[in-house]
Amino acid sequence: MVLGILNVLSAVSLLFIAAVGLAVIFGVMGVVNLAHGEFIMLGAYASVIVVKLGLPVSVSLIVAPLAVGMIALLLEPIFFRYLYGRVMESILATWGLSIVLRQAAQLIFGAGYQSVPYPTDATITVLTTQISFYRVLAIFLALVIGLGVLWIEKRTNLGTTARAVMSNAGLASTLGVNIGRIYAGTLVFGAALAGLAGAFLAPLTSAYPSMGLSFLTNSFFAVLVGGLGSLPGLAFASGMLGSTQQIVAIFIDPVWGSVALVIVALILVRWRGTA
Amino acid sequence: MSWPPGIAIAHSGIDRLRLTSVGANCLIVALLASAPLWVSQYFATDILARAMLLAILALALDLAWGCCGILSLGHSAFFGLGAYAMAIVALRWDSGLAPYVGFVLAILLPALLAAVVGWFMFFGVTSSLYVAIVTLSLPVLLSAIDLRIPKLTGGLTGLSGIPSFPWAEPLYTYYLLLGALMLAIVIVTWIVRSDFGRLLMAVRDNEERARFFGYNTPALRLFIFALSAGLAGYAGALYAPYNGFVSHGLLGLVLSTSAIVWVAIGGRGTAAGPVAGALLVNILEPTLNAAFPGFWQLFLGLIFTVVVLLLPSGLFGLVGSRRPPRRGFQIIDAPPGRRTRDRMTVAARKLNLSFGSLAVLHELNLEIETGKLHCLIGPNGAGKSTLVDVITGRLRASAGDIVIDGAQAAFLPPNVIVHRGVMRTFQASNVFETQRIGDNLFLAACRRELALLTQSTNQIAMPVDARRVLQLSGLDRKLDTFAGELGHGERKWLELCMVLTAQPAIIILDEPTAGLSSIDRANVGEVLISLVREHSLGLLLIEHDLDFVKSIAERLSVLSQGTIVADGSVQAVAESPVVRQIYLGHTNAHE
Repeated sequence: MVLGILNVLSAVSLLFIAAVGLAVIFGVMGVVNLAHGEFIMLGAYASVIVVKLGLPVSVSLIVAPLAVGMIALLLEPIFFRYLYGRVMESILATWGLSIVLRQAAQLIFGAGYQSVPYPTDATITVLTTQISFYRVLAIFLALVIGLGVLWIEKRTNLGTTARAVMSNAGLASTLGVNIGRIYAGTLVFGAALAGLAGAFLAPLTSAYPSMGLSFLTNSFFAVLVGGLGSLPGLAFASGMLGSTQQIVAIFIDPVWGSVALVIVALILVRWRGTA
Repeated sequence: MSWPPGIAIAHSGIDRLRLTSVGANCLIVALLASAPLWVSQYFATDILARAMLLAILALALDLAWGCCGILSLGHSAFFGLGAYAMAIVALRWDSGLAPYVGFVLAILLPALLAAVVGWFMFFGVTSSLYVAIVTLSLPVLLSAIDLRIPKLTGGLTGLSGIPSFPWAEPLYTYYLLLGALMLAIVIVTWIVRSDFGRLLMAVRDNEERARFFGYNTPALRLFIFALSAGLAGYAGALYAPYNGFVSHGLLGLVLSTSAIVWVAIGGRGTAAGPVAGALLVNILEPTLNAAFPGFWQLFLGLIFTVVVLLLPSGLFGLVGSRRPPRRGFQIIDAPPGRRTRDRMTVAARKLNLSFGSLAVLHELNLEIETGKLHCLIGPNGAGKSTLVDVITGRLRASAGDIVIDGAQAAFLPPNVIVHRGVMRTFQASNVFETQRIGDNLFLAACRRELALLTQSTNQIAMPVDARRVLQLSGLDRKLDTFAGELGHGERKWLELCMVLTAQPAIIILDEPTAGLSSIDRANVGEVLISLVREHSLGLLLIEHDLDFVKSIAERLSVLSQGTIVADGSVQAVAESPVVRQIYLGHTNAHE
């Protein structure tokens, strides 16, 4: 029972961790980043490289966000810059980018699964049940990321500026806000969050070129159900969808868990609408 | 087959030089039909035949995406479902009927799946992003389910030994598949070129306006999506016996991604672009994939990205004509008696609407009737446009009633309200910019969606009042001009003509004179007065200009802070203290 609840909680947390970068990028820039899953994949491969270099795997939690953020920074002037505020084009173009990144990863790293060791194999005991410490860590990480992003959004000047750009980019630019820089910064920040998610997920799923796709649909459903650009909404949606999936997965099996997630998302959006 | 770029200018007289979609398809079919004469048999029956099947998938995707704006990232789900349905029935049921039953199921099952998913996608408050993500999840889920029930589907290994076509000669199969492709081309071309195609294009480019002309746009998109899925299933149904073996990959994202790439590269929105794109990529793929293993897909992804950003109309957009053809429109008299009702009223009773803590409408009562020119004034932010949105079904009231002609009409969708006889214009003029003026008027004149499938006409049935306004505005001489090329004032005139053409009993005009010159404004005033006097229309005008209102209106209502604060004859209301207070900022008492 305790194990079940903890599994549900960690599944919810993992969904939240995977989706939060997506929500940030879409919320501020109106760019639908279908290559988000590939950013997660790149973060996972960053862990693979860290391990191959003989460094402790926990280092990747710092290296991966930096690396993926750098990649996004390089892509900004040649690619993302042309997509700001253009939803339909961004869907197609980032879908193209995701193909390119998947193929590039396959060429560089090969098509196979590459496992990444857990940073810790410690377990903690709750009421006679042994639980992997790493799964508990997921819950903490989700809380830290969620509160961190919320704090940046609400309590810093940067967050205020970003919210201004979100609600009216044209007006913000006439007031002297450098929108280009805010957009680039948001993109890098969102990509870094994806990289962090990838590094954290790598021990659980291994790294493989098409791993991004499995996170992509679920993360997007969480963002759509939660209402675009709302962090508490995203947390709520991750909770609904993640727990549905995990509960069905425990009682029936994981495939029907994924199906249940989509059905619940469809029903929620049908009667609530996307924000 | 391409013209030098200098010649291929997309303008009036030179249109003729461009390759039409039908012409391009005839060329493609002729090339394919003669191909066995000049390519090796292996090339024809293996590479070309397969490419033709995948071209059908591309056509199916284009029907949804290019023609109706439904970007489906998961069309392989429908193709794979069709292939599996065909394979399972053929393998499991030992009967002469099996191939036929399998074929029918292979078309119906995907269409059914699309209809169920489409019901969720199109009837809620959703966006193109939502459609993309939901369709993206379909291949992911179906592949997972496929692996979960290996007894039926063969799991990862797939199903083999599917009975082939009842002949040994591979060229027969080749020509059968060519015939199948031609059938798909004919179906899609038929839809695009019929009057229904004009409606689809309107829905694709401006769904809201189409809905406010009474078209049931969610149902239309559902229909096209299901049709498209059925067509993809049809391709899958042929693929199973052709290949003899169906596998996991047919359901997967790789195939649906590729289909999007073919359609985008070929050029979406035409029947020829996707066929050309699918054939081109699939003919080159085996060769180039062998030459540059791994890099070909990467290269394809790069080309796709570049095409999306720089060449949205694809390769066919370079050589072909994508603009709707001239029709030589002819305006005819609308059959009499189409005006919905002679006398009717629309009443808003105790309407309330809040966004969060902000109450936009509060206990609002208003009645509009035929034969009256009724104006509604109020300061910015009073809730005027919101009120129109609530009455016409664009927004839902938090509480209160809308009663049209005695019948409850709150919570009805916009298209149903139009059928009850109430139409509107938009504050920022809203017309089908991608279509010619004649097409705009045609779409306004017509409301039975499916009947359009069987016709392709250049006649526009307009009632007398609409024709008069059309002549007055001078637009009757510009029927072949694209609405997007009109200036602000002309668009306003066009939208008014369109609404009149649809013959409602009551029209709500949201600032019809905003931004017009004073001459235009006077003209509009005269037209509106005669519409009410001679044709006993009911008009509700949202206005800012009090002098203009005084010169035309019979009845005047004042909206302030979400509720009607004055209502009555123009003279009485215009002189009332409440109007002075709102417009001049003080009342008599302070003077």
